This record gives sequence, C-alpha cells and structure tokens, in this order.
Amino acid sequence: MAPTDRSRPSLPPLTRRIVAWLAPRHWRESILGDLAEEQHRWRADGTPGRSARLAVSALVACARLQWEHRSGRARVGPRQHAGRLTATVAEARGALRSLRTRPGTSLLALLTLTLGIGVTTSVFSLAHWLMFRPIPGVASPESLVTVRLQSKDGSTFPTSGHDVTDLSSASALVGLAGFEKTVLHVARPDGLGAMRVNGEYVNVNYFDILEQRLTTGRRFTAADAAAGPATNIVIVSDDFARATFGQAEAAQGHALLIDEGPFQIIGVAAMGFHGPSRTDDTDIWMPVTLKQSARVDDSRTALFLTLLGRLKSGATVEEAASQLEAIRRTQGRGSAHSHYSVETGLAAPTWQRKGLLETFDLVWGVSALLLLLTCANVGNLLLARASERTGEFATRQALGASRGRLMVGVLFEALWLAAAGGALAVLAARLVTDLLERTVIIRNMPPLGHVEIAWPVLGIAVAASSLVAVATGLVPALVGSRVDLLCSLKTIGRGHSPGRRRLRTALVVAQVAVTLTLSIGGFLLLRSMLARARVPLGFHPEAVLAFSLDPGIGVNGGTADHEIAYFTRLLDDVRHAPGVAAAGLAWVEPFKPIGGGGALRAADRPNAAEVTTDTNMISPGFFDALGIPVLAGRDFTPHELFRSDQGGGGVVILNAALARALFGGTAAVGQRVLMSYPEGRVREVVGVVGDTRTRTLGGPPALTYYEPFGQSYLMGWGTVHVRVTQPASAVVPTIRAIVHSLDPMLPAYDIETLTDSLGRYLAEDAMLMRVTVAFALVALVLAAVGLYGVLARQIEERRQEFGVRLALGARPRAVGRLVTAEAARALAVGTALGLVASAWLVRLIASRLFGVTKADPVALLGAVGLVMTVTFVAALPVARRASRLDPADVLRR
Amino acid sequence: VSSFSDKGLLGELEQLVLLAALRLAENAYAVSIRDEIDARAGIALSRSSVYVTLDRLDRKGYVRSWLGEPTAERGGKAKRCFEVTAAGRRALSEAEQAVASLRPSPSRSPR
Repeated sequence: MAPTDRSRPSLPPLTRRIVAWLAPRHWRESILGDLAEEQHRWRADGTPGRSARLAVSALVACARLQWEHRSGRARVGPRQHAGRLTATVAEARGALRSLRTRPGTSLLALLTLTLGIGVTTSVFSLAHWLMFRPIPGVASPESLVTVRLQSKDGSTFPTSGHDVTDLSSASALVGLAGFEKTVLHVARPDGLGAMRVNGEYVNVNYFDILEQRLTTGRRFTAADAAAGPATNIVIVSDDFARATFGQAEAAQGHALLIDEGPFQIIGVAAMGFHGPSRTDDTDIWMPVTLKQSARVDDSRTALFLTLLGRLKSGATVEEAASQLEAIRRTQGRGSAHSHYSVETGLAAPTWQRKGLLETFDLVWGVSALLLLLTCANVGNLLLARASERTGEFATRQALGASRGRLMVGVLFEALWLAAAGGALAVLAARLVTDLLERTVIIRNMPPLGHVEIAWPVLGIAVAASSLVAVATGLVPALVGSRVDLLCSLKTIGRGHSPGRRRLRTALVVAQVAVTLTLSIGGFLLLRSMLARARVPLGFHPEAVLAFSLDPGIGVNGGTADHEIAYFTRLLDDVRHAPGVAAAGLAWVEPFKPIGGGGALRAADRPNAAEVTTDTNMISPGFFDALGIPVLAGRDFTPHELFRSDQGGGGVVILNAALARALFGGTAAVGQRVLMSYPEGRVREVVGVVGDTRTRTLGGPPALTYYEPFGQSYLMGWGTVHVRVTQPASAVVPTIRAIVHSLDPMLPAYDIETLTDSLGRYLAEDAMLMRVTVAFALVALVLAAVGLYGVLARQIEERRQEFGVRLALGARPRAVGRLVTAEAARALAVGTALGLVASAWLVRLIASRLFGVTKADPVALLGAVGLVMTVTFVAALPVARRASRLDPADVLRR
Repeated sequence: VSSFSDKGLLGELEQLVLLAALRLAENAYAVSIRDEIDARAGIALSRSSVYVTLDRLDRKGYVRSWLGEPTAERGGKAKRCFEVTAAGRRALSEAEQAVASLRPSPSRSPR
C-alpha cells in the first residue's frame, strides 16, 4: 500500500474550511491530517462517497473541542466545573446581596410594588366579592332567571300574585317562585324588647326553585300554602339561628314572637344564605299566604312579587322569554307594561348594578393607572441599578461569566422583589379591603359584611407581582447585559449608554403623564366635593337627630288607629324629653333612598298645567326641627295631623319654588290646588316655606309640597326628626327609653344625625375623591423619585462633559441649566401626554363631577402647576450638584 | 462521569482512551486510538469523542502530546502523538482500585 503521488489525498474544501475555522489552533493540523489519513484509507479500500459524513464529523469534533475550551470546562481539575444548580443558587444569593447593598432603591421598589399591587388587589377583591361571589345555598345559579315586568321606558316592576300562577305554565321553566321583602319585629328571646329583622314573603316552592339543602328542618310545602294563614311557620337563616339559639339545630321547632304573633321555626336555611341576591340580608322567610296585613291587595295591579324561575335543562332564556310573552298577551294587561324582562342569573336591580359598574369602572381605571405607574417606577429603579452596575458586569464578563448568567442575576433581583412585594401587597390588600369594607362605598347599599380576599385573587396578585417585576427586570437584563467589554472596562464608573438613558427618560415621561392624569382627576373630584359642601341645603342638618319606626308594618301590621295613637304619644313624649328643642314626624328623611313624588295643579286657573313635584308628609314641628323657615302663612296645626281629607278640607304647604311655579307672583296662601294623587282632591294652601335640597345636591331646589302626616294615607312607618340642644349621643339613650316604654316590641332604627345621613349620602363620592387624591399623591411621590433618579444618574454619566464645559469657561449656572432643560423636556412631553390621557379619565368621572366643568381651568392649571413644581423640586438638587462640580477634580479622574 | 471527574477520578471514556494509548505506545494518535478501541473492545467511538477526551486528558496532565512527522498519506500534515504520563498511569490504577474495592468479594457473598 505504497502511497503514490497521484493518490496524494486532498480533503473536500468544505471539511477543510470547517476545521480551519473551528478547530482550536493546536488541534488544527493534526485533525486535518487525521481526516486525510482516514479518507486515504477509504479510497484504498474502495469505500465510496463518505465526504459528507466526514464534513459532519469534523464539524461535531471541532464544535465539541471549542465548547470544552469556551465553557467552564476549560479549567479542568478537581471541582473545576460547578453544577448549573450551584451557579443558579449563587446568582440567587448574589441578587439578594446586591439588593441589600442598595437598600434605598430596594425599599423604594418594594414600596412601589406593595402600594401598586396591594391597591389593585383589594379593589379587585372587592369587585370580585360584589359581583362574582357565589351565593351560598343557591344551586346552579346559571339556570336561574329573574323575571320582572318592564315598561316601555325601561323601568322594571315586580309582579302580582296572579302572575306567578299564570306564568308557571311556561314549559321552558321548571317553576317560578316569587318573593317580597318586608320588615319584621321579632321579640328578643331574653324578653328585652324586640329586634327589627329583614324578612321575605315567599312562595312555598321558593327553596325548591333554589334547590337549597337546608341546614336542618324542612322546606315549605304545597300543604303549607293550602293551610293559609292558619299555620304560622317560618324558616330562619343559619346566622339568625346561631345568634338567637346558639346553634342552628337548636332553632328547629322553636317558636318566635313576630309582630306579636307566635311562629314556629320549621327549618334553618343553608349556611350563609340571606336571599337570592348578593346584597340581600334576609333572616326570616315566611309563606306569602301568611301575609295578613290589612293593606294587602290581591288584585292584578298590586305588584309586589319579584319572580325567580328555574330553566329546564336545555331550555334557553329566549325560549322562556317568548313563552312568558305569549302568556302576557292572554293576560289582558294594560299597555303600561310592555313585556316581561327575563334575565339570566339572580340579577340585582338595574339601578344597583349600574351604580356598581360605574363606580368600579372608575376605581379600576384609576388602579390601572397606578399599576402602570408601578411598572414604570420599578422598571426605572431596576434599570438604574443595572446601569450603576455596568462596571461590575463588564468585570464579571471579562472573568468569564456568560451573558446568560448576568441575566439570571438581574432576573433574580426582580423575582426577589416580586416575591417580597407580592407578600407585602397581600398584607396591604387586607388592610385596604378592611378599610373599604368599613366605608359604605355604593350609595345606599347596606354595609358589606366580610369581604374576603379570594384565593383566585391572591393568585392573580402574586402572578401580577411576578409579571410586573419580571417584565421590568427583563428590560434591564436584556439591555443591561449587552455590555461591550472593552468599552465598559475603560469607562467603569462613567458609563455611556444613550439607549438606556433614552428608555429611562421615556419611563419618566410616562410617569409624569400618569401623575398629571391622576392629579387632574383628583383636583376635579376635590373641587366637586368642595362645591357640594357649599351648596345651601335650605335646612340645618347639624344637631338634628332622626330615627325611624314602623308601627304599621309586619305580618300583623297594626291598624291605622293604632299607628296614629302610637305616633301621637311618641311625638308628645319626645317633645317633652330633656335636650329636645323641637320634634316632628315625616315620611321621608332627607337623603334617604325612598321618597315621594307627586303632581298637582292650580285648581282655580283654567288650563293650568300639571306640575310634577317631590312631596313629604309631615307633622307640625318638622319645619322647626329642621330649621326650614315659614315664609308666608303658617305651619300645620295638631288638629290637621292624622286627619284624612277624603271628605274634603285638605291642606298643603308649598315651598317657594313650587308656589312660584303654580301661581307666579300672586300670593299662594289661600289658593286651592288640585291633587293628581290621591286623584281629584282639592286642598287649600295654608303656608309657603323655604326651598330645600333633600334628594340631590345638584340643580335648583326641587319643587315640593308638604301635607299633614296621614292626610292622604298612612304608610305604616315614619321618621321622627328631633332638634337637640345637647350632644346627640346624650339624647339617644333617652329616645331609646321612650320608644321602649311605648312598645317594647317596636324598636327604633336608623338612629343618626342628619349630618351623618348626609355624609353617608356623599360617602361614595367622598371615597372616590379620597382614593383618587391618594393615588395622585402616591403618583407624585413616585414620579419625583423617578425623575430624581434619572437626573442624578445622568450627571454621573455626563460628569466629564460637564467638567470639560466648566473648564472651557461655561458658567456653573449654564451647566445647571443643562440638567433643568432635561427635566423640562421630560415634563413637557409628559404633560402633553397626560393632558390627552386625562380626557379619558375625565370621561369616566364625568358623572361624578359637581359644580365644575370637565375642563375646569383651576383643576387643569392646578394639576399642571403641582406636577411642574414637584418635577422642579426633584430636579433642583441635581442641577445644583451639576453646577458645583470641580472641573479640575473631574478632569483628573 | 461528572462525579468521577469531580473527585479527580477517570471517566469511562478516559479509561478506554488511556488504556488504548498505553497499548499503542509510541504509535498512539487519534486515528489509531479509535481503531484500537474498536478492534479490541468492539466500541465504535465517534471521532469527536476521541478528540475531546484526548484534549481533556492532555489538560489534566494525564497524557503528553507532540507533533510527529508529516506524511504523504496524511496530506502532508503532522500527527499529534500521545504518551501516557506517570500521573495518567496513577489515575488509571486508582480508578481500577476504586472499581475493584467496590466489587462484591466472593468470601463475603451470601451462601
């Protein structure tokens, strides 16, 4: 096998090139030789076509050799290459150490995360709790429908008892149950008076439709309905049973004294169940057939039952709706109610849902802004940290650390922050939720009970915190690890990274924009709140105590005579109590959700137009108690109180606005008015009183007429208004004692001063204002910190430039101005963006504004001025430091 | 392999390559070592494995290498020749002892 010249082998050019490029230098020649030798051997053996395999194996061999040399394996020997896990743990520890070495930045980032995520989480929890929390004791709520009558203008009404029977024939439904809310007075088991309990009259199949498994006892049956008022039975809530009898099971079979009649408890509802809606607080259910009130009206026009239907499996809401519509046509209803509205699930009344959605849209919007700010700020802080560590990164890279490892390190910092921030955020969320819970946030909604931070929400909080921190951590990791070795090593401590600076400036611009947006919102809401406080109410709410009683309501609702006698004695006793200057009864208390509406016209003027008004039924002394002035004529007399004007002789008092509307300039006292409700009654105007705002603060005072309590009808309840000469807290026990002495079974409720009542009316707006202002303040601080950080970093980076400028004769002032100019640029761009963004926020809060326009110049200028001031306050110390640089010192370095 | 290396002991591949190099004496280089392992042990190593192992042994000081004479059949390129060092021999025997000491002894094996 002597080699000949002809067979002198030459490797394929591709293989040669691979080896020449890739092989470590000291291996290059021998590998080429080895390959050539093997190829020579194949040729001699006559093995054909293996050049491709040769190229591949050359490639693999060279690549593996290179890998050996490049990677940590290059340093061979005992314990030379630590495991990947060890390296990761080292990075994790290093990240922790690095966070500790800059406690200021770390704490700021932590604070930002805690605030941003905590607030967002608590708002989310609350929204979740209010809107999506499952209702205990309601099986498969998705197949339940709420049925109401709807009129052409979209408002909804309950149905009559007959409708339930008619509609139950719809084949798409398993059945329909009706319920009506009521108030019951239940004797305390300890014999000390009575408590006022929310109840529901229900059809006997109510718990069947809900498919509720009772804690103990039985549901109502058809036999119960057939027995009529004869069997007095109730089902009580689990909470009520526990509170009253200590144990749910103990309630079973007990008797309750409700409105002076004995009722037997046949069952205890599922734990946590208080009615089919999330805001319900019912504790006692009784068959609607037990409703014995003298006022019960069993006609088709008596609309009091809200219907709850269960869809058959496979049936759709549309089918049910069309079947109900077909039934409605056969019912021969008037045109007032155009159709039945059928809504999936246990729909809260529209007004309640609308309020909820509106409020949460706004709170969400503001929270989203805060979260945005959180991201920007944390990102900025982490970016600044990465920027400060350019030198460290360069050194580590020069010593052989891979870019991947540097990125892992930066990411670990983000993760540590996210984990700690997430944990703290959960605590913060707890606090904020507790705080929100104690505030009534939705106008006229009952207190919330215990809002829970749901597990899914917790998960979302943690996910959000990780995402925010990783996202913000990733940017610096990507930008920060792209370190040019030579350049960075040369400029350790100086740093030239225009790209990163631009990114950080962009983040500051975003912060300024968000801050301005929130500030504008805060200013607008603050000014609205101030405007509300300045509105003249027309009465003096301070030192007025109000409390309500309902002697005519309940299963055994008292007769009209009883109610009159009760109120007469009550007023008399209260008026003579110590600390009471004046007292009067009224149907409607200022700023309570219930209220009367009426309509009337001038009786003796032909073609007089009907005027729609507010109305209230009052006793003599009401005007004195509230401090409403009698402008003309007189107050009602005791003689007029509780006297029905069915036989004529009715009297009214008008407020000034209504008197003007009806009679123009002529004196109203002595004129006669024709009532639209009760229809056709003619009454004499005996007085004119001052205008008041008792329903809304906006707009002109409502047109209002007053009539003596009980002249048209009795409602079964009333509210006593008392002007006190002592602190309200001192008078309350006296009043409770009086009420108890009159009838221990009839407790007073909603005892509060009108100032508190007004405060509650404004609570929702006040909360929104406070939240927005608090967010704006947090935003201001964050933005100031962010800007300060960026600018301070910049003078470090531009030290040399400034030094040269100063050395060449630039005035210190001019150098300082360079810094302020930078801040001004960020401020200008941020302001422009913020103004655009605020248009969106203002649209969200438009319905909450009061007494200010959307483009209120004071709010806009104030917000811009505030943001500008804060920006310059942040920039000032940096600018001064820049102008005080010692050029000699800088250049020497 | 890694646990062996961490203790300074030899990996399987390293043992094979070292033993082959011992057998081949002055004629040990990448191609011949690979052929030897294939012929004797019936193990067909990939080219890259042989190079990487030799490279590693070289850096651990278990083999010594030098460039030999270029020949025509190698396209005028020199061989990289290997010789097992004293440290290499010691490492081999340590590895063999480690294996032997763990082997169940016949006298102690259950009857």
